[in-house]
Amino acid sequence: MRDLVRDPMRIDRLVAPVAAHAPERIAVQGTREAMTYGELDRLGNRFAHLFLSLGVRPGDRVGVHLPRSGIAIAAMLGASRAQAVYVPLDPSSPPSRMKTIAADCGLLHVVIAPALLANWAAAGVTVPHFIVAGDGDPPTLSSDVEAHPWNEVQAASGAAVENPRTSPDDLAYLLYTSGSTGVPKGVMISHRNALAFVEWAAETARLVEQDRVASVAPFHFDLSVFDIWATLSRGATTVIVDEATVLSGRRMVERIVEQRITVWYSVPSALILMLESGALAEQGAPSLRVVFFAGEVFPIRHLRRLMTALPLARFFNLFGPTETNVCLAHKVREIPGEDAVAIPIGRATCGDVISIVDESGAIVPDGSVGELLVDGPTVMLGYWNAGNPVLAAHPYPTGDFVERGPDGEILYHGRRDHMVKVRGFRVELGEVETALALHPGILEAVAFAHEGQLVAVVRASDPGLSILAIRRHCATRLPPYMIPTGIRLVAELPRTTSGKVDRVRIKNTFTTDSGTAPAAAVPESISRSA
Amino acid sequence: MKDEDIRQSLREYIVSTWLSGDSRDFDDETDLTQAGILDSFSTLDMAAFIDDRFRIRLEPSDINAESFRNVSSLTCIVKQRLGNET
Repeated sequence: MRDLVRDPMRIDRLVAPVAAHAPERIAVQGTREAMTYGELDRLGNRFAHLFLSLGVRPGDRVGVHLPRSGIAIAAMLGASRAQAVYVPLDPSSPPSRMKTIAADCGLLHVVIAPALLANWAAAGVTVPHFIVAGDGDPPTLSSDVEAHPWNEVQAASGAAVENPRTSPDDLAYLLYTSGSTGVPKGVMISHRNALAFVEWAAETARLVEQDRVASVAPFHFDLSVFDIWATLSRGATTVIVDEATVLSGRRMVERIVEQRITVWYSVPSALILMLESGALAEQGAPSLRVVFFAGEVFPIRHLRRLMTALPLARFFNLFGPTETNVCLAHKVREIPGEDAVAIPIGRATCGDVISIVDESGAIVPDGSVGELLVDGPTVMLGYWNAGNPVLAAHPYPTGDFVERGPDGEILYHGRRDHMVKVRGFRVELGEVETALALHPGILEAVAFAHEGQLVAVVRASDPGLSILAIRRHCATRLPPYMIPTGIRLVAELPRTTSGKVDRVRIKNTFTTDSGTAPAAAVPESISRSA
Repeated sequence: MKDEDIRQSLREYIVSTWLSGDSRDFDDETDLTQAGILDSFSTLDMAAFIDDRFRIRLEPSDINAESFRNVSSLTCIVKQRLGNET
């Protein structure tokens, strides 16, 4: 028989049992305020009742466009309790991308911060119902849009919502990731999918109610599923490490020390920032007992430094695309040797089953490289696409090349397609190229990763087009991490004999050619202010 | 250090790092966030450059949207930290 407290089958059932026996315990420690389990539980109910009164039906998508906070978590909890599907939206993305996502998944309701609502309104992007999470009057919007002020949430009932006809296979949330065709893709995760990971991760980290778990990853990024739901599943505290703090290695270390953070999950870049600041070596972070990292390859020399700086912590390399959440994990048992090239991505976890196949779909022998296929409880239901769910293939082909090593651990060999990682965020090069090509002065663009940075080579029809103008255009269409760091203008792109753009030659030219923009186009002196 | 020298250093760094050397359309009032130049990550890079180039130490409170808006506002903050407000 299933234990409904430990195995509640839906993420929205994780909070109430803790709230019932320890309502005063802190669930979310924000930068200024803390929210207890009792408060989180009631606010989740208030959101749920408000959503229901506004006509939200089971399976409807509800956007959450807020900075990371207890209120944002309560909004997700409330959406879930109203049997809706929450869609975390990136506070740093431009409104045009929000418009694409809102149209793709048919958002009718968005919980939004006042400052972000002003951005949407200024860009003319709208949905029928905004729930404004913050004090003060909402901005004036067009007549067909309703902005519900914060006091409507506060006035809603805090009593539990009855939802008898729920299933663990209901959709829990959509996470939008970069899409190769230029449109972001909504990855559909069910309650069962999410809990398979949450349960495994909470057990692996040995989370207990005394733990203080950092929330570093943005909520639209799958790493945050651990920070929120694994933490709440054990009655522990999630400690917000806010967007401004994440900018600075030194400030992140200070936050760990001051908040006595015990468990940390982030991309390696954030951990490397802490190392580079020198603060980790100076102050240490003795409270940290578990460090999970994922999203990109951890350079060995930095991992060695990190493990030396935190001698008491346990380290885990987690692996899996958003589509499968975490499907492989490797416990780093000792500091890698100086001659080590990479650490493994480990073995199948969370009840998933993996196989490695060649192009014909045949299983490759151990020691040979092939594509990673994953099946099991963490594999997504499918993609949300233009209003319709498209079910995932089983097993799911990840597009990642891997090899089974001599000890059975899986080794990573890179991507099959045009997806790259920038600071742990996945970027489909096609999405960047599509955005660039939407500029009226651009004929063609090729994007690729170069020395860990995103770069683009652009063929423009307008010789007067400046790099600054291109960047400005990108900033209106792409989140900051998807804007190429280096952009080069060229008169012609190299082609293969079939006439296709020759990506290999473009990359090689970029590496060897020290020139940047066409010389004739660049004035000799740097321009001065007018 | 003269105001214009500070401006020149900042402009050169931004143009070479984020504009591939193309200074067209760029001036001291260009909004660095709207231009897709500064985001959370590149702001840190910019702050590190300022620390190294001018041998000063920016405090966390110096690093905000207002002071990192454009070359002119960056010049102000550098001058304040250098202590030679001329």
